[in-house]
Order: sequence, then C-alpha cells, then structure tokens
Amino acid sequence: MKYLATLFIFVLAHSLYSLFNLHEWHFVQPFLIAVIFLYLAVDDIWLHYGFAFLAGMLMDAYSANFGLYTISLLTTVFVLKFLHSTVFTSKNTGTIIALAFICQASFWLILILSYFALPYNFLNVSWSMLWSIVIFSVIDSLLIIFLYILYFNIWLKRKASLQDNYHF
Amino acid sequence: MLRRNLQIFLLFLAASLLLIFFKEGQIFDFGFVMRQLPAPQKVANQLLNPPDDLAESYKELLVENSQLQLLEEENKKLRELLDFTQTTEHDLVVANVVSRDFINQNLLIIDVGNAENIGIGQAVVVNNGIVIGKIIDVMQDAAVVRLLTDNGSKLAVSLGDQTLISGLLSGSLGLGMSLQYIPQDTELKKGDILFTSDLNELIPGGLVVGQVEEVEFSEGELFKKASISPLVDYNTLSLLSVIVSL
Repeated sequence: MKYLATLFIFVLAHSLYSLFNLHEWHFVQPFLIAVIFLYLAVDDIWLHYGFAFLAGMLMDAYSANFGLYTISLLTTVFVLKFLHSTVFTSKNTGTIIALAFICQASFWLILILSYFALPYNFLNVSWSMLWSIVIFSVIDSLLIIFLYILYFNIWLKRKASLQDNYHF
Repeated sequence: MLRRNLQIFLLFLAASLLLIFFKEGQIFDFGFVMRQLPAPQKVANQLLNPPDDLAESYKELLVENSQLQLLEEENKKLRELLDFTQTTEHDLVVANVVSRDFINQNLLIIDVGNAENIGIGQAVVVNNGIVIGKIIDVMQDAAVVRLLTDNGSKLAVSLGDQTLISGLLSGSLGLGMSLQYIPQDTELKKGDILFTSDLNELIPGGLVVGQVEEVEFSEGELFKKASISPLVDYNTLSLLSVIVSL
C-alpha cells in the first residue's frame, strides 16, 4: 500500500507539473517528492537509499550530467536522516513541515553548487531561475505535507484502529 | 543510528561514483541500461487501453496514421541531410535527439557517442548544414550538445561574404544569440547571414549559423553588437548530424 501510494504521488505530481508546464522541470520534481515522501512513510533505511539511487540513475540517464541527480538525491536522504536523528526527532506535523522545506533547500543547493564543480557550465544561474526554485520548493513542500497528512489520517490511523479492535 | 546512516550513505555514494567513473572510463555505461528500459508511456497505454473491437482498430489506425506522418517528416529531414552529405566533403554522423536536460533545455542528449567517433568540440548541424551547436560531452552511446542559444556557448563567426571579418557569437539567456566584437567600420544590417569562421578548431568554415535581427551601435564603444536569430526552431529538433571530420 505504501509503495502504491508513492507511485501514485509520482504519477500525480508528474501529471500536475506536465499540465502546468512548470519550466520543463516536471521530471525532477516528482522524483524529489517521491523520495522525501518514501522517507517519511517507510522506516526501511535500505529502501530510502535504494529508491533515491534508482530514481537518480534514471534521471541521470536522460540528463546532461551523469551522476548529478543520484548524488543530490542520496545526499538529500542523508541530510533528512541526520536531521531526523539529531534535531527533529519527533514525527509531528511541525517536524514534517521543517524536514520537507530543509530537504528541498538541500537538494537545490547541491545542484547549484555542482554548477561550480562540474567541467562545463550546465546551469544558467539567474534570479528568475532562483525565484522558480523558491516557488517549486514551496509547492513541493506543501504537496509532501498534504500527502503525508492524508497518508497519516487515512492509512496509519485506520491501521491503528484495526489493531485496537483486534486487541479488545 | 547515525553511524549506520553514514555507512549506508557512503556505500550508495561509492556505488554511484563507481558507475560515474566506469562511464568516464568507458567500461560500463549504466545510463545505457536505463535508456534501454521500456518507455513508461507505452506500458501505461497498454494498461489503460485494453484491446477492443472497432474502437481499438480505430485507435490503431490513428496511431498508424500519426506514425506515418512522423515518418514522412523524418523522411523529408533525412532527404535534406542526404543532400547535404552528398554536397559536403565532411564526414557526418546522423543522430536522434534522446532528450533535453531537465534543468537546462539548451543541452540536448543525442544517441551517438564514442562508438561513432563523436568528440568534444565537433559541430552539430541540421537540414542543409545549418549549425545549431557543439558537442560538449561524450558517453558510450550518447553525447551532449550545447545549443548556440545557451549562455555558455561561444562560436567564432564571419559575416556574409566578408570572410576575413569575424565576430564572437554567444548565447543569450537561452532564447537567442548575440554577436560581439565586430569592428565599428563593418557594414552590418538586418537580414545578413552569419557563417562559421575558419578560426574554430573542429568546425569547418562557411556553414550557415543565423541571421542578423538587430544591430546595436554606439559611438563610445570599440565594437558593434548585434542580436542574431536562429534559422531553425531549436524547440522542435529531432534529427541532427554531427560533423566528425573536416
């Protein structure tokens, strides 16, 4: 069910971004959303990194800089995990909001930093591009929070109530 | 917990770095494997549209019709390229556009690479030899093309029949091109055609690049500037060819 939910999020986000044609980045955003959501919904650390690795490799196969998206997504999961174990240790809505925003920032920061590290300039860094990133980050974070709340209320609570009924 | 996180992160990071280095060393290109995966649209279409009598045949005919139209268009482009290959003395390799980079739309990924003798700096042309960009990276089965409209693109060009007078063509915000370093005494007007200069190392001179759109002239400056429009639509590129030897 969790995996189906993640797949559904990817398809939904991809369709939305394709529909509105947001700066042609509709391939990157859904994967980023799916990686963060999978982290929040599932507890298996191998799955977090494995999914980020495969998603990154798939994106890299069709992008100009092979490896860039894989490293960015893996680092994003690492940052998430690190923050979750040290600063944001609970799983309340405030934590989810903070983590979603921080992860977006981390992902885009790594991509922009790679502009200086890679052999040829692939990014056209401009104020309009940075502004687009800010808007995307807000939209993506809101989408993640909305989906997590839906998932929490529909799936986890239902599961908990079923378990309660079983015990009594 | 933190230690385990770091260990697994480093493990996956090492795996991805290995794949990157394998690709650079041309041992194994993981991107090639990914690109061979079936297209998700086809799978989705098969799942959403199960076979059904008349409606299905109608859809099949529609698909066939659109495919034939695409083939006709491709045929036309190939004929144009064939004309160019027969008239030019350079060696050309025909390539299809696989995708565009997700962030920078002025970077194209094409389906020819090291195996076809593609090298960094070679010119990419369309139709009857109109230059549209340069190769900036080569993989096992693919290469990256930077279009002339990209901010990082630089190309030495000459003006019309004045082959000795050259300027530097650079991309402008990914939308158009601008021509710089043209001597003030050079006659330049709207509609003039630009050609590649002989100064480019791997690009033959005399190939069409674009057309002058607007000339900027100022008494206080040493050089003239001009904005250049491409002769082909860069958004609809599908079939290209790379000049592999001069």
